[in-house]
Amino acid sequence: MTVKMTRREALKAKAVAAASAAAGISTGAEAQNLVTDREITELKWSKAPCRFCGTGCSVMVGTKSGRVVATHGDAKAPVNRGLNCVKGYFLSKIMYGGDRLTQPLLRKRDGEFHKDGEFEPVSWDEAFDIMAEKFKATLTEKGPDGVGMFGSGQWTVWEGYAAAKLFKAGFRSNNIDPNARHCMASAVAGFMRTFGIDEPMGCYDDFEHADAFVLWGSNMAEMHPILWTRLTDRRLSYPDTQVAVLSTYEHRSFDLADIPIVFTPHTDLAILNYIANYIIQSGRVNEEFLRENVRFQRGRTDIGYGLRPDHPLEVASVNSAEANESDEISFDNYAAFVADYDVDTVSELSGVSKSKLEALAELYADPDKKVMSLWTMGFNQHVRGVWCNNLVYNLHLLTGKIATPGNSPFSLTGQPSACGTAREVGTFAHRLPADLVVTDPEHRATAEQIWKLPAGTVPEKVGAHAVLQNRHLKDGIINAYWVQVNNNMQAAPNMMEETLPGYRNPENFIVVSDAYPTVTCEAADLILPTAMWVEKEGAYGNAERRTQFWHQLVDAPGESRSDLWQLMEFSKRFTTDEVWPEEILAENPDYRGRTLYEVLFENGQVNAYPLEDIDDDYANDEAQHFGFYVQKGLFEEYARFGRDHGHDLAPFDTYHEVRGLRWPVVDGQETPWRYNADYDPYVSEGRKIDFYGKPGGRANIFELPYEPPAEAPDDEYPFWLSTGRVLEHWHSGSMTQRVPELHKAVPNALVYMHPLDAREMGFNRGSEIRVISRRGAIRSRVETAGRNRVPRGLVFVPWFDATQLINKVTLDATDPISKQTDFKKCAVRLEAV
Amino acid sequence: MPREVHIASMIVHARPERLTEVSRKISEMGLEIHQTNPDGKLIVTQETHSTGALGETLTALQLLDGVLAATMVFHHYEPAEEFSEASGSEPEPREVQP
Repeated sequence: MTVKMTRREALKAKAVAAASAAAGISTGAEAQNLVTDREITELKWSKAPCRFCGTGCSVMVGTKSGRVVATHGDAKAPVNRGLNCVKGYFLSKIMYGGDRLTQPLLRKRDGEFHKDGEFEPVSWDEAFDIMAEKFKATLTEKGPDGVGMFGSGQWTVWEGYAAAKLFKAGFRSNNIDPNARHCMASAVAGFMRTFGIDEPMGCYDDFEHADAFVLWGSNMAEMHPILWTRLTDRRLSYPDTQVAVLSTYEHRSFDLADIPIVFTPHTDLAILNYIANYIIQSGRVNEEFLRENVRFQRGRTDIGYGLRPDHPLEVASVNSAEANESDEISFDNYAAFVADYDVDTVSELSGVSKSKLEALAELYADPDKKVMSLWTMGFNQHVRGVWCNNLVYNLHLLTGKIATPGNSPFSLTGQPSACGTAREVGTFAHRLPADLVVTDPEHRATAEQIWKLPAGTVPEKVGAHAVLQNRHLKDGIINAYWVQVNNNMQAAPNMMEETLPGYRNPENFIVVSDAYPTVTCEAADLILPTAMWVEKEGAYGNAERRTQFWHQLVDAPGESRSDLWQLMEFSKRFTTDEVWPEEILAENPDYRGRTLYEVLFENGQVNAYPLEDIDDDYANDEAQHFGFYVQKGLFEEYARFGRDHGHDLAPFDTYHEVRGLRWPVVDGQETPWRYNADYDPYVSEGRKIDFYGKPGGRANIFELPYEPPAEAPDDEYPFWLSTGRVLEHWHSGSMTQRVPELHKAVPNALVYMHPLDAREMGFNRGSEIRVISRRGAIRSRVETAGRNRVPRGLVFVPWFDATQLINKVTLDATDPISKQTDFKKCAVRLEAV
Repeated sequence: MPREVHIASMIVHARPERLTEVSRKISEMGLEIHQTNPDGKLIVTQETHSTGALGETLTALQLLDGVLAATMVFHHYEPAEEFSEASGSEPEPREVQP
């Protein structure tokens, strides 16, 4: 036997041992992270959370000679227990795509910046020179409203924090919003309205305790495979467990469904109210729970669709200005309201059989069944997405099935730090860290005090949210704009009428930081090459409130630099005199003539930790560059917002040791179930359950009706269009499509349609067609087979394909409360090409 | 000459009553099955010289009828020349077509 055989066999044996341990097939799970083979021990193994979805799997990353060469699921990780999903296989290759950006690129003509010039390589100095010039000119001319930033749920915690601080305190503009606006904003508003604190009360341990799972607009089998594995294990190990799957078309998750439900788009609102009615009518309300823990609210109705104010639907709406308001009512008011949602009416409206509706309602009503509700974009990308979130909480509150193991309304997330960064750090246009908001004077004062900045530094005015930023770019209201870690040209709705004209508006200067050349980069004026994932030290927070850290494991290629480096370095180019008003400077002369870098990052807090604090085994490019342990300083300053306020984070160094901890972390203990006295130290003495985010510890049950969608099929545009993902391409594909062979699996986006609809239209499978809406059109091909089985009258188009940008077609209607876009429904017609 | 060698292991969770059928299909895909258990779980490895093939395999596994979930556990890759330095003439890793 050759040496090679030994090595290959050893590697394979290790691969098998790791898999067996993770599957629980053989004993010795602890052996999985131990490596005995000499060749493999040459690798340096370190933990890092996966950078793809919001599940927060921990991955062991093997490096050799400065490159990532191996990964395996981390057996010590409570989230994924040694498993890794198909996306995990991209991790080892994701940094090594052939078209990686390695130097700044500026549009130039005749040696100078020109909006219509060609991209030419420039130095970082030249890049920041022109960028600072444009930002300063805009700030002088338009003030803080003229600059803006679009960030991401893929920012690390400290990157999001530094960005929010630079914009909200440095430039004094709240025009900063994350792409999480497109995926999580409705969930956030739902939490705030019902509970007064963001993020789920339960955790992934609920998967092993629940008796029933209800998927409301989530294709977990394809999008959250590791959590789906836990759900599948529970379902098959405990045969009495039931799974209900609701969607507007059949997808892979239906394979496990005991109660499969395809409903007419938008009627989930009515189904939710029907279930509440069923619980009340069948006498299964948990009255003791309601008496202690709940209050009833009537939400405003007829709240519009978040379109431009001159759109006829907005003109016609009555309460769009006070969409988030509500009035207290009684249980009897509420019961009388939902009584209209009887099974006959809702069956007719939703197209779901009465027997299925009753079977679904019984899962919630049965007092002996612990229920976990799960949802993602089906609820959140919805013009009544906040209502959907409120209405599902109603069901858990009416029955008291909440905040105990297995009873869990659970909002899943799509991005690795949608919770940890976008939400907790407060990178939204209206937010500050730890659920504080810019509209509250006390909250602003808290931020200014923690940041050691003059009173009045943080502006009160809510900034432009994602969709409004694009409108403001098009209208020339925002002129200097920076995009980091996302592909918004592809992701934002109504691209041809709003996004692209905004980016190419001659008045505007658009900067895009990315690791790869996306369509957003192509629409930019300046591209900044960016270090990613384990090329920097980072922290993410997942959907179950688990904060996880990783070290820098390899160097970034060429001149690429992390978002954090870019933000901090850019801040050196501005002085307070240039960007702050005279009245603040006059009252606080110590702040005169100082750079934003000095007041924001050299404030004695962010720069409090020396380089010696860094683990000797790991590089840290940012810390070496700035001369102090940047990440630790930013994290510890940030953590002051949440400690003793229900958002407690552990000390920085702890997170490098553990596989994440779920906040609040009090006295070293994480909190698996919030609001529950058995687990949560914030619960008041003498209470079993305490929704302490709301006055009196009472959560809100909301009275909210079914209202029609912004656009529905008619004679001219007879089909529903729904968009979403397929397994093979994650998010907008800007990273996953870097692996060329992958294109073979799903080479281009397809239009999934019902075979009978196709036949009536005269299309065959594979026919080339145009999908046309009132806003734009794309060419694509018909698919009538495969795993996405749509009902008649609806077509589904995945949105990953940069050559077939479906957002030319989608409508930029948003939830009026959350401002999140409804990508799941608009009206289209189809034509043969 | 392949540029890289990849070795990966996966767990496939089949409906227990369809384990035999799923095992047969997986073998037909050219994958190696190392262990199975009555709950419907299979331990599968793949050796290939293409990243894409690995992703395609996992996707194909996940979409097989009778399969509820397919997850990856271990993935090692390195340049093929480093692999061959340690050896002599080993047959090239087989490209697996799902």
